[in-house]
This record gives sequence, C-alpha cells and structure tokens, in this order.
Amino acid sequence: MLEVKNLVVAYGGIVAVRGVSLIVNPGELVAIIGANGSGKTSLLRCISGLITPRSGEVYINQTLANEIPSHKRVSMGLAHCPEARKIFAQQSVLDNLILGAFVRTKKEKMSKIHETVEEIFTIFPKLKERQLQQAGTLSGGEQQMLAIGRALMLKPQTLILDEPSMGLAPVIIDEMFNVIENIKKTKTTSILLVEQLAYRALKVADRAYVLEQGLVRLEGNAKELLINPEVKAAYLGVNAH
Amino acid sequence: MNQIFQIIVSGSIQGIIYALIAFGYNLTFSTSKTINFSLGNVMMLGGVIGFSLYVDIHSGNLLGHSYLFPIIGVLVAGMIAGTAIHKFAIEPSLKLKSEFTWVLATLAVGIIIKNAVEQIWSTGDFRFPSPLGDVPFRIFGTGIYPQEILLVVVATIIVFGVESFKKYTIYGKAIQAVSEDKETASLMGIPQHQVVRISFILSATIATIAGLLVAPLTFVSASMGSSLGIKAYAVSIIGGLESGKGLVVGGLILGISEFFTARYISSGYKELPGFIILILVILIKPNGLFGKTMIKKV
Amino acid sequence: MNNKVFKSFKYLIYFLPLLLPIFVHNEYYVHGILGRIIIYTILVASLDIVTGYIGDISIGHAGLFAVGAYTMAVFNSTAIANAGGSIHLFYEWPFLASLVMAVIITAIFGFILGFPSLRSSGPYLAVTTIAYGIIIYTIINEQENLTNGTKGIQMTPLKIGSLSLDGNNYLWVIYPCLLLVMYIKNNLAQSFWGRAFEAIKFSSIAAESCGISKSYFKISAFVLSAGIAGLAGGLFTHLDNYIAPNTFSLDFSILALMALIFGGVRSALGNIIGMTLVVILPDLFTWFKDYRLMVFGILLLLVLFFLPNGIAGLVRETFEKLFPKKINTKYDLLKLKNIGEQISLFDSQKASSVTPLKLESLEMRFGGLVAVNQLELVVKPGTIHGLMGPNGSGKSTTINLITGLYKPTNGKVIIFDQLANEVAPNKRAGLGIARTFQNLQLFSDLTVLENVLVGLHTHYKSSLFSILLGLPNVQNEELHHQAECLKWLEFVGLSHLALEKAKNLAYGQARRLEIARALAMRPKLLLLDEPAAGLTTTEIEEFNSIILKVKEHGISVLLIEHHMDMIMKISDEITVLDFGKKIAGGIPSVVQKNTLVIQAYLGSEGEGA
Repeated sequence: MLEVKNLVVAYGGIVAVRGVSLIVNPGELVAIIGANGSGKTSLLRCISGLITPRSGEVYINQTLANEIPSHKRVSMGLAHCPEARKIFAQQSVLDNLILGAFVRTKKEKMSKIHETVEEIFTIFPKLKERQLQQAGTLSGGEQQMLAIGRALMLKPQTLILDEPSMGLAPVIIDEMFNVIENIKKTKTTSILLVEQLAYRALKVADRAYVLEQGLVRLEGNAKELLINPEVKAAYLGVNAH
Repeated sequence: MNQIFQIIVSGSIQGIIYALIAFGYNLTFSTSKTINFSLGNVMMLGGVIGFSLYVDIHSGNLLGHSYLFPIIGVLVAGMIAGTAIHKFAIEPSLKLKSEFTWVLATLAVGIIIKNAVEQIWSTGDFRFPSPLGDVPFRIFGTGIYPQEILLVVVATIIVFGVESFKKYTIYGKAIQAVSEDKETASLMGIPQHQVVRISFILSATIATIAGLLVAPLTFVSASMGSSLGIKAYAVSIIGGLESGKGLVVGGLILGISEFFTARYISSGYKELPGFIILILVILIKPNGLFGKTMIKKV
Repeated sequence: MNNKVFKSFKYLIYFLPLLLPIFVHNEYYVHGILGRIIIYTILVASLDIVTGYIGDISIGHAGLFAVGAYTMAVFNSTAIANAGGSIHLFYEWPFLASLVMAVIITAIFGFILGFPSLRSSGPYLAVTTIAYGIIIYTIINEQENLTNGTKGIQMTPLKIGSLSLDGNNYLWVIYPCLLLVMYIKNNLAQSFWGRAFEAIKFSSIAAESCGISKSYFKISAFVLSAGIAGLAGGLFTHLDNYIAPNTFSLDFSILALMALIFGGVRSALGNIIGMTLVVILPDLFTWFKDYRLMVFGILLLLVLFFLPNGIAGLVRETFEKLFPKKINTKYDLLKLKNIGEQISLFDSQKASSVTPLKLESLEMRFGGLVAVNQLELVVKPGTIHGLMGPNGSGKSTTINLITGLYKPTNGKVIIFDQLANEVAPNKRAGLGIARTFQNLQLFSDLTVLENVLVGLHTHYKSSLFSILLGLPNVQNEELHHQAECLKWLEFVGLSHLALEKAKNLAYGQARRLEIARALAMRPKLLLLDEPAAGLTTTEIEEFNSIILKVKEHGISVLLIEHHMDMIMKISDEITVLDFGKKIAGGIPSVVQKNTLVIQAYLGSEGEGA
C-alpha cells in the first residue's frame, strides 16, 4: 500500500528525518510513535507530498510517487488527516465533508457522495446534528472528528492520521481511539497513525515504529513494544533496565 | 431635498462601479493573498475593446453590428488578460515568496497594458454611445440613465452569481478551501495552482465587463482605468478584503462622499474625503471595517 | 601606506563631478539629465530607508517630494517672479533657510505617514501610502492661494554674490547634498539603528524581545525618510526654477519605486544605477521613447524575477566572484579579538538574591478556553527551572505571558520583584530577561555577528545625531560592542562563523546563535523555549554544557522543553503542565516517577513500568 525507503527530509538547516524506511501493508494499522521533534510530522508531510524529500523514495501502491504533486496523490487513494485538524473553519460541517470527497466528484454522482456523508454521520452522530454549523464553531473534539470524517470521505485505501489526540480531553481521546479501532475492523483501509501518546497508539496498532531524532530507534509488533522498557526510556529519559 | 436625493443616487451608482471592480480584487486576494494592481487597466482594456468592436473610432458612428460582438470580445479579452497576468506576474512572484514582488510585478503589467493601448490604439478620449440610449429616466425628479440601471443589474447578477457559485458548487467550495488553507486544500486533492489561475481569469473578466459597462457613462480612453482602479482598491480595503458586505459599504462611502464633496465643496476635492476616510479606517481597524484580524503565532 | 593613498584617491573621485560645470557647457546633459538624476536619486535613497530597511512598501513618496518642493517654493519664491498669480503672500526667505524648512515640514508629514505602518502591512499599508500621495497631490492642485494651482510657481535663479548657481552650476549645490545623504544613509545602515530597522523587518517579535521598540523605530524611519525626500523636493524646485503639480502624481511614486527595485535595495550604488537607468534609458534609445513605459514594465518584470537583488546585487555578486578576498572588509576580526581581551563577559550580571520570576495564580483565557489555569511557579535565583508538558498543555501561552505578548486575564507576573503584567514586551528586556524562540527567529539576512549585535541594542549610548554624522565616539562604541559580541560567539562556539549570513547556518548552529543573541542582552534570567527541538543527541549534549556554563555565572534559566532527557538532566527543579494546570512539581527524580506525568506523556501508565 504504502512504502518509504531511506527517506531524508530537510528544510532550512534542519534535517528532520534522517533516513527512515517503513511499510504499511493492506488492512494494517501501523503506528509511529516518538516525542515532539522526532520527525513524525515531517515524515507524514513528505509521504503526502507537501514537502519534497532530500533523498529516498515514497511508493504509493507500488508506484514511485516522489514527483507526483500532493493533490494527485489523493486520487491514488491516500487521505491525510493533518496535525492540528486543519478543518476549513469558515465552511459548514457538511461542506467540509464534501470537500473531503473532492476527487470523487469527478467520477461519481453527488448522490453517491451524500451516501458516504450519511455513513460518516453514523460513525460520528454529533456531526449530523451540527452539519449546517460553521466548522470553526465546533469544539476541539468535534473538530477532530470532522477532520477524520473528512479524510474518510475519500474512501481511502490508506489513511494517515497525524496526532488525533492532540489537545483533547482524556474522555474524548478514548472516543477517538474507539473510532480508529472501528475503522481498522472494516479491513478496507490501512492506517498510518502518528501519536505522542505511545501506549494508546500501541494498544490499537498491529505494528509500530519508534522514531527518535529522525531515525527509527525501534520497530516491531505493537504488543511486544508495549512491554519494551526502551519505549518508556525514549519518552521519559529514564535509563532502560 | 431633491438635490440630496440625486447626489445619493448618483453616488451610489458610482459606488457600485467601485464595488464591482473591488469584487475582482477580492477574488484574487482570497486565493493568492496578492492585489492585482493592473486590474484598473484591465478594466480599461474592456472599455477600449468593447468600443473598437462597436463604434467607428474615426467618425464616432456605430459600426452597425450587434452588441453581442463587444460582449464576446470583452469576455475573451478578460480571460486572456487573467491568464497572462497569472502566468507572467503572479506565479513567478509567488514562487519567490518575497513580500512585495507581486506589487511591482502587477504594477508593471498595468503600465505595459496602458502604454500598449496608447500606442496601438489611441491616446484620445472617445464617447461610447450606450446601446440603451442616452435619455435619462425621471424618478421623483431624479435622473437615472438606462445604462446606469443596466450596470447596477449586471453588477448584482455578477456578484450574486459568483457568490452562489462559491457557495453551492463543489468547485466554488474548492476555491474557498484554497483561500482558507492552501496546504490542506491540496490534501483534499484540490489543485491549488489551477484554482488561483481560475480566480485571476474570473477577476479579469469581471473587470473587462465592468469596463464595457462603465464606458458609456464616462469616456473611453487609455487612462480611464487608472483612477478607477485605485479607488476600487481603496474600496476593497475600507471594507476589508475578503468581505462581501465591506465591498458595498466601502463603495457607497466612497461614491456618495465624492458626489457630496463635488456638489458642496469643490469638484477638485471630490476624491479627498474618501481617501481620508480610508486612512482613518486603517488607523483604527488595520484590516478594514469588516476584515478578519489575523493572529500571528510565535 | 599604499592602502591610504588608494583610499584618499577614492574620496577624490567622489568629488570629481564637481568639476563638470567648469569644463562642460552642455546644458542638456549636465543640468537637465545629471541634475535630475542627482535629485531623484536622493528621493530613491529616502524611499530605500522605508522600503529597503524597514520593508514597508511606499507608493506615495511623490507626495513627500511635493511637500518639500512646495515648501521651498512657498518660502523662497518672490513676488516679482510670480506676478499675476493667485499667491499674495511671499515670504522671500533665503534659500538655505527655506531648504531647512522643506526638510522639517516634510519630516512632519512623514511622521503622520508612519502611523498606519505600525499595525497594517502588505496591501493594507500600500493603499494608505497611495492615498496619502493622492491627498497631497489634490491639495497642491486646489490650494491656489498657497501653490498657484496648476499654473505652478516660478522661482528666481539662485545666486551667491555674483556667482550664479543656476544651470550647470546648480550641480555645486545638489551634488554635495547627494554625497551627504549617501554618507548619512550609510552611517545609519552600519549602526545599531540600521540593524534595528532590519531586525524589525525580519521578526518584529524577536526585535521587541531584544528591547527594540517597533513603533519608535518605524516612525523614526518614516520621519528620516521623509526628511530626505523633503530635501530632494526642496532642491528640485530650483532645478528648472519652476514647479507645477503634474510632476508629483502617483506615476512618479511608482517610477521612484521602480528605480529602487531596478538598482537594488539597501545599496547607494543601487539607488544611483536605478535612477540613472530610469532617467537616461529613453534618451539613449530614442526609438522606444513612445514605448518607454512598456519597455520599463518588461525590464522591471525581468529584473524582479531574474535579479531579485537588482543590478547592484548583480554587480556585487560578480565582484565577489572576481575578488573573493575583498569580501567583508567591514569587520576586522583580528582587531576585534584584541579589543575583546579587555572585556570580560557576565560582568554586569552578578548574581543577586532577588527572585527572578514569580507567577502567582496566573490565568489566561481565550474566549471560553482556559489556556493557563491558576498557575503558580517560582524560579529561584541561580537555578535552572524546567517547565514541561505535552503539546497544547499551555507552555507556549505561559512563555508569551512572561515575555508580555499576552496580558494575563488574572493573576500576576512578577519579574525581579516588579509586577510586570502591564510592561510592554520591549521594556521587559530592561527588567533583565532575555529569551530564545521555539521556531527560530533569527534576522536571516544579517551576519551572525550582527545578529548578536542586535542583542546588545539597549546597551548602545550614541545619539542618532552623532551616528548620522559618523563621529569618532560612535565608531569606538561600535568596535567595543563588536568585540564583546565576538566573545559571546566564542562562548557558544560560533566565532569562526561570525561573518556568515545567519540564514546559511545549520540548525544546531542557529539554535546556539539565538542563545548568544539572548546572552548579549546581559540578562539575569534566560528563557529558553524548546531549545532542543530538532537537535541530535550530541548537539543536545553541547547545548547542555552551554546552559550549565551560563548557570555557573549566576544567571537563572527557565527551560521550556519537551525533550525529557534534557530537562531531567540539567534542571534543578521542574514544573509539569497539562491542560493549563500544574500537575506536578519538584526535583527531577521525583517528577519522573509521578503517575500523572507518565499518564500525560504516554497516555496510560504502561504495562511495562
């Protein structure tokens, strides 16, 4: 589905990603965890084409995508739900969702797209109540739901989620991870999840990569990483023992 | 009393002309965050091309064919001008990411257009007979030209048309998405460069239509766009770029204040109050009357 | 020795044009063309101060030029020359007095023009300058009893005794003025004033944190610029001994701007080349005279996109390529090193027992959101205090409250025993705090050394007057401060890069430069906002040792950091935030084991722990 080989990302003088390789197989939920500034977001932005890598390759469905502009990667089935939600605050909730299906409108009828909207509403019933409201007036948690819903509108083959828990209250975070697990259960979408909350992410993921200073420090089965003391060390600066 | 009514009506019509061109500024500002300083001269291009396709420049008589000719001519000219301005001034400026390259680039384009028209066409002033005739209506003792009514109607149709396009179609929503957040728009699969180009084509076409509509009310000349362009810019700033309400309010403030000053003080000073109001507005509200305040993050 | 001869020779060349009126009698080229170039170049130089240094575009300088020209005309013209006009009052002041008046009155107009620039920028500011120019243009057209309207004002030709200063001889008046303006502008650019201008342009927030008042320096720039524009205008009046309003239209403002960009900003050479081209191009190529503006337009587009630094930029780059050794003779590092031996750092920052920072039940609300909630925090003298918390926990808001970018909705910020809630950001440097920024805020076009010099801003004592005239005490102060800055660079290990542009630094180096700049402010409390973000392990190690060295000198540090390794290793005490509230505090080893902290960071306790 998605593969990254020896990716190096730099902007300005910062080398944010220093040679990362990873793979997301069909139907898999892969987590990338790591502290702030470890290069997670830069990696994702490079995968969806918002920044160009200094070196290395990005493959989407086995196609080398380095030269493909970001908006065309969306047509290849890649949906990216960006950090800090980035909903279109001045447009309605419904319009935000429809924009998520922008590339589908070229081939499919609007009625199909409205069907998907209804599906999203069953996942996030709160959005249905507020569909005509300006998105900027939603609470943080609702905005995050909208951002995920908007990404799902594409019916993506691969879904990238960048820190869905950021700035949310613990109860809402629980809800968010339930939704992620449910998407995973459908088996139609593979997910690349970036999280700061390592243990939460590891609990839902199949496999995971631990990023530190732009490098993969650990990788493997998520359940195994969950009990690996090195993960905690990477976060809290305590020596592993 | 009657006189004041006449001033308000004429001033409002003038204000609507400003607002229509200002609408063109807003369209491109929202997608590219630049002001197209050549827009006044693009409007002039509309007037000149419309004139050339409708009136014989030497005799001043009508060429005799349908008004459809100038309309089509003006639409085509607008689209070409919009594409060219985007390609030669805006796109390279945006790539450089400099604060004011676009100011000079669009100023340069405006100068080129004006000079070209002067050399290729004429430096003179010409009267453009209105297709609706030049006999004013009388409503409660206030004279209104049929051309003025046409202008108000077309301006309303254009503004409402474009606004509903933005609101109700997926492409319109895409334009709004780009103006809010280019990066996220491209994550939705929206081709932002194309959207910016379309906004420039739309904006230039509105300007050339405005030129065709305004020409019979003034004179046609290579310099007809300069001051109109600046004043329309002032209008869009008074109202606050990206605000539809602001356009109308700004246009009316400028238009009516001009007519009042011309009537009661001196016609030489008619532009003064509008520009003084502009400076005061910017001093008190740096982003215009209805503009959104931008929050800078550290 | 050779060098000295060369230098004095160079100065002689500057004065050569003064001989022209003696040897050349062609009126058209000397008086008409050269005279115009000289006066217009002064105007371009004035525009350069606002647009090149401060970065605010002005499309209204023709208005200021007009104010200068008409002030001169009103005060200096005579009744005889203007018989039959609408003016009835003639002051008939002498030339020099009128010229001073032109400068002063135009400076006042510049003062007014400066205000919109304090809060507006981009298209909003550009239109106010246009409006300002149009307002002035309208007034000179209409106020007939002051300006004689469209008929214009006639001047009496200048004379000193029997020596005529008219025609070619007018060069003796205007050329020294051009030299003076370029000298002043150069002195200004090299001084802490010029650096303050550029600092504001690149990052007004960082500039304010260095104690530079944005409003003061912006308004001053507009006043200076207007004064020089007034000088140009005042001189213009006597060029043809006649002025009329149509010279001063919007088109002239645009032309001046075009000349500035053609030539290249922030360069005397650029100002001269730009205006020369604008004036003489149509004369050299008569075939395109009618198409003059079109050719200018196309040239302008080409210069904009292919020579972003203008023609002077091209000249400079070629020169640097041909003579790579001649670059940067501006700073003599060896000399600075020698001076630096007598300077000891940290001298004025002796540790005190006063508590550097106290936050008392601090609260910040944005609408309904409480970003910081009842926060209590004390930084003890001479310690490193760590402030940590996950993303969105209120760390950035807290630092913005301490540095004054936000005013708290409740509670107190107390800096060195002073209540600082209402103190403006640029005044907080004076209280003894300095900061670095999470997303680097360097002045990217300035050199590394100059960046640190901006940090020393508040410690400069020279007056603007002595700077403009380039008095020797200014140079001494400058050298002394440069030497100190070089030592600060040594302290953070960057002295070998002193002459490099800041934008060419690697990320880790840029981080250290921010520290050097902050230290140059000679603070007693240093605020570090996520200094380790994006650094490698070794870079963090180096960074830690710098911070510990700073602490040794008795300076307190508030370290806002996400990077656990770092904060745990060097902090004496830690405060942990989550959702704007303090959830834990104390010494690192205790905080590390706090379950609330682990939960906030990892999402749950974690089975492995």
